This record gives sequence, C-alpha cells and structure tokens, in this order.
Amino acid sequence: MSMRQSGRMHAHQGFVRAFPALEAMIGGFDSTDMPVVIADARAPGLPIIYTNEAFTTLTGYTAEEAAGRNCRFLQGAGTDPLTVTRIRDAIFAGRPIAADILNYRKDGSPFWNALSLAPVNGEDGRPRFYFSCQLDAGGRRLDLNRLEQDANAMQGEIAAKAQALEISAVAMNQAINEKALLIDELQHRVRNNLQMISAMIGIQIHTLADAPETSALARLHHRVNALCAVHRRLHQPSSPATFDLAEFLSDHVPDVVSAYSDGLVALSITSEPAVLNSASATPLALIFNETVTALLRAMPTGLAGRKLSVELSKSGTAISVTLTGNSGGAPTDDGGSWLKYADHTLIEALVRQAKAAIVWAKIENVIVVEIHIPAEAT
Amino acid sequence: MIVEDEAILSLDLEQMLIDSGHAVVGIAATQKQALLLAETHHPDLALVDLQLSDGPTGIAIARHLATHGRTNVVFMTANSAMLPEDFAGAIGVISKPYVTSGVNAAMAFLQEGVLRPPPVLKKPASLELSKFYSGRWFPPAG
Repeated sequence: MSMRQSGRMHAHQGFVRAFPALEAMIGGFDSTDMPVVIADARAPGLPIIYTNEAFTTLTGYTAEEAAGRNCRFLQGAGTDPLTVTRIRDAIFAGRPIAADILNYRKDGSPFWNALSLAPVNGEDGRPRFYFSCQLDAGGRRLDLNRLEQDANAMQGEIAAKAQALEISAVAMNQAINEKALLIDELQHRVRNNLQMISAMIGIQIHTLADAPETSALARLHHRVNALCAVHRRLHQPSSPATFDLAEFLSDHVPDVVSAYSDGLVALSITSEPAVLNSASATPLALIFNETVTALLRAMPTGLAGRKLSVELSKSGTAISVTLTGNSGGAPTDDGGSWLKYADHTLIEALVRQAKAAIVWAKIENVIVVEIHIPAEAT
Repeated sequence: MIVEDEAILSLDLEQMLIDSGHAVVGIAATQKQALLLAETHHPDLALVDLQLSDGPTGIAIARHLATHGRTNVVFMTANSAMLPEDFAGAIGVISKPYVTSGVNAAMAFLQEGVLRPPPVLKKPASLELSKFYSGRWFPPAG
C-alpha cells in the first residue's frame, strides 16, 4: 500500500485541488514529518488507503496495519463522543474540519490528535478521498490541561484559603470574645481587689481614729482611691483602652478637696475631654492626686479666700494642666509649701514614667503647678 | 441594709454609711439572709452586690425586692456589664471600686430620691440610674 516516491509536498491545499495528481503528491507525504492519512470516500466504511511514516511514528501502526480500516480505530475509551460526532457530521456534509481528539497508539497510550480533515472532491464534485493530517497536540493539549489543572488547583486553593480564612475569622472572633471576657474578668478582679484594699485602709483609719498615723494612712487611701477612679472607667465595654483625664479630674479632685479641707476651699475645674491611652492613666492619675494633695496641704487651715483651680488645655495632641493653689491672705510659707508637702520621690518617678514634665512656681501666696502631658500619652 | 459577701467590704461600707448619718439595719451575704432582713426591717434601701456567697443571686434579690415591700435596691458591683437591661427593677448602680465621697454623694441623692422624690440634688457621677428611674426622676423636657 505504501507508495514511496520522491518529491516533496509543500502544501496539502495544493494536493486537495490536484486530485488527478494524487499519486505524485503522495510521494511528498512519505518524507514529511507531518502524519498524513488518506481514506477512500467512495468505499464502504471509508477505509484508509494511505498513511505515511510520520503516522507510523506517531501511532505505532504501520501503513499495512492501518490500511483498510476506518480512522475510528485510533479512538478509545477516553475519546469524547461529541468530538467524534462533530467529525462524522463534517465528513457526511463534505466539509473540512479541525478538531482535537483523544486517540490511542498501538501500545494503548493516549495522545491528543490535532486533526485536520478535508474532503478531496472528484470530478463529479463529490468527495473522492478524505485527506487528513494529524499532529500530536500533546504539548498544546497538555498546556490546556495544565491550565485547566492550574485553574482547578487555584480554585481549590482559593476555596481552601477562603475556608481557612473563614475558620480563622471564626477562631479570631472566638479569641476576641474570649479575650474580651478575660479582660472583663481581669478588670472585675482588679476592681474588687482595689475595693478590698481601699476598704482595709478605710477600716484601719477608722480604728486608729485620731492617732498620728491616720494622716499617712489617709494619704495612702487617696492614692488607692485615685487608682479606684482610674479603674472604675478603664476597660468599660464602651471605651476599651482609653481614659478621659477630664472625667478623672472632675471625679477625683473634689474627693481629695473634701478630704483635705474644712469645706472652705473653693474649687474650680475647667477642662475639656482629654482622652489618654490606658498605659498613661495610672501614673498621671497618681501625679494629679499627689499634686492636688500637696497644694491643699500647703494651705493653712481656717483662712477664708482659699482657692484651688484646675485648668486643662489642649494644644494639638499635647495636654497641659495648670493647678493653682491660692492660700488666701495667708502669709507665705518660706519653707516652700510645695516642696515641703509634696512627695517628690513619688512625683518624680511618676513624671518619668509618664514622660510628662512638671514645673512649679510660688508667687506670694499662690503656688502654680503646670503639668505637661506628651502627645504620646494620648 | 447591705447585701455583700466580702466581710471587709461590708464592714467598710457600713462605717461609711454610719459616718454619713444613715442607719444600717443589717448585713446579708446570701439571698435568704437578704430577703429575711428586708422582711424583718423594711429598710428604705438595700445596697446589693451581684455575686454573693450563694452565687450570682443579687439580681434575683433585686427582682424580689422591687415587687415586694418598700425596700429600694441599688447595686454595687465591679461588673455592671452583667446587669440586665432593666437593672432588675433597681434604682441604679454604684460601680466598684467606689470611694467614700462617691458613696456619700450617691447616698445623699438617693435619700432625696427615695424619701422625697424627685431628687433635687444633681445626680453624682458615682451613681448610674436605671432607664426607668432616670425617666421617672428626670423626665425629658416637653
């Protein structure tokens, strides 16, 4: 069946139009690398009448083995029936067709066949032969497969990631809830413990009555109460990690004033909301407690005209608080009232911790203390 | 009356109340003791902690007292987030850790509110009122 002849076919379109020159053209197929099959369009079952060497190389079937069979013999279990139908329809309609079809080699291994099939019409205008060339589309098909696989893999990965994300979101929510519960519980315990400490000091003060130690205990009580004032607000559900200094001042300063004065010290507090981070809350609360206590203690008791004013002002994110203690008409205390009554060790340590600055001045019977709070505390 | 299971806290609070001129009819640490104390003495006010020695029974005590007898309830708790929306019929809550001045201010205000409502004093920051009492004592203008 093999019709080996010399000559080279450059374009099969030429062959298609040159049916009378079929024999001559076939010679060209023998030496081409492109697998070529020619089937008889007029014989029943459209038997193969020619295959070239490249076909044998591709499929493993020799020309003798292929001859007389229908092209279907290359199909197998994995061949898409729809593609087969498309090719068959084209053949019956006498149309050319190109299709990628899964074929099987003689050894049973599958390959993607990029099939181009065209009828070669006889002189009567009806198909006389079917000419088809096959190409191993393995690479191309593989790429498509790989693309598809990649797409599938990516889709899988995306789905997995989405799921993982969802799981971690749930876990995170759970963790956040657990953390919130834990913080609530911790804060609850801190508040209860502070209450216990405050109560113990309160009881002790009461037991000692007018003993000299009570004044020291009372100062300690106010330090603890300053912490109480901080922790009543800190970590309330509404404002988890911030602390309003203005609120603290209007809460705690009157408390200290009522404890350290005979009720005749006029108090004025001027402030605007000044929100600090929770880390700065404790040292600053204690600084203000110490300062207010010292200013009040520096005032001689019994005199009219004593005043304490607290003014909070903001400049950008920096906060300044000016505390002014006016001892009324009392003679100035040359010992330096502020120096004498303030616990400097404590105040300096707290000022360092809060990275704040404190300056004070005494003019006659007025002591002015300015506390500058850095922007980083806000 | 004081309903608190921490002995030190109730002792300190009792002293604060006595110092500011109030009479304390007794201290209860459980629901049973609290209800018995209220039935026996009919105090004007019960200061009630949420967590007592028989469990978180403070809310049940408040609900009972709100509908039986004349005793009004104010919670004292470190965990006011645990309170039900309606404060279980209580007037309000004093948050722990409270201090003497805060308790004194709250008590002065409550004394007016309970005995000669509505209170004339400004509501102190140490006391948070329930929605019901807030609306009752400070009706919105118009």
